[in-house]
Amino acid sequence: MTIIGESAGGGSVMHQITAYGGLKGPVPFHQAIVQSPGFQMTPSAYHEESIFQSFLTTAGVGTLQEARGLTSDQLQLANWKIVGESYPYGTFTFSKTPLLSSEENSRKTRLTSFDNKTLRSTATSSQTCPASSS
Amino acid sequence: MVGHNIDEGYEFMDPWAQTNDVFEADMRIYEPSINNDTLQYLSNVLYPQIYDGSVGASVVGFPNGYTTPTGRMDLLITEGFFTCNTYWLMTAFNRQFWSYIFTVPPSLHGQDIVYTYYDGPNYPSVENNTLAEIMQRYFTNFVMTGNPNGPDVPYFPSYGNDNTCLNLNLTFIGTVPDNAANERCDWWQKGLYG
Repeated sequence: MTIIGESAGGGSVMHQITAYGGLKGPVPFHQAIVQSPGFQMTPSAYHEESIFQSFLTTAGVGTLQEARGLTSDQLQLANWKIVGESYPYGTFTFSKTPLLSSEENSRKTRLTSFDNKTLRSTATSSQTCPASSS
Repeated sequence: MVGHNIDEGYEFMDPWAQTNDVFEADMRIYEPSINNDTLQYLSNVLYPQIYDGSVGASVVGFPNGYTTPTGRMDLLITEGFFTCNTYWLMTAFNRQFWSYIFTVPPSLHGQDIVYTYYDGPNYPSVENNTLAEIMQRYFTNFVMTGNPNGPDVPYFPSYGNDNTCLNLNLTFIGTVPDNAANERCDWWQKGLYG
């Protein structure tokens, strides 16, 4: 099985194939095609937190728990407002990478050579994917 | 297998970044925790206000370097948000795999999608049906065998130690060095802006 993505999709595929520095065992696919991967790098917790607070304010709630009680329409409206008000021109606010712990930050921003066996070891001539990820 | 275009950043840059003040103010918004020394290095050394075309990452068919403030910010977005990723992926996977550069002018972000998903003659926005079919053969060969090469396509060498990319153009397909394998992308990878 090959996963493919372009732009934000490329960024998503890129994060799938580099997740945890490859240290959490095999992934449930064999190969990846990464096209024009794009995302905004946010290595700081400060940045992530400010986006979260902006979301709460825009959604008109004070906590994550309250946000979970909102309707889909209310959440979509909050999302639409935040994306629409993104500054500078050309950004989307939500195109950023997820928050990692400070230890994992170093793995995210430094793609060192790691053993790609976990990605390719299950590649066979068979056309079917294994049912499990092991 | 990875791929990138030339002018990825043009549709995402701030068109009002025409002065150094706005350039640096934008950087402080993209990366709020950037410190002043790092910002000055970015602004004065990596993407300086030098508009003679000497600063940039060229590929055959595209001019060297930027000549306007627009080009300066464009290059920063292109490299920092997009193309450096493909360079890092190749080095992270021991340079064993394949990287292409889609250079059909103007090679904007997303311009290659209609070639990837080409559906037959007269497909909108595809300027060369043969190129689309060749690209699809690379992708499907890769999916089926783990290697994009096959009997019906030009040879696609792996990235190797000389950063070899396949240049996909309207009139030719050939190898070029990766224009994202440069000192600016080496700097971005350090995450010093965080």
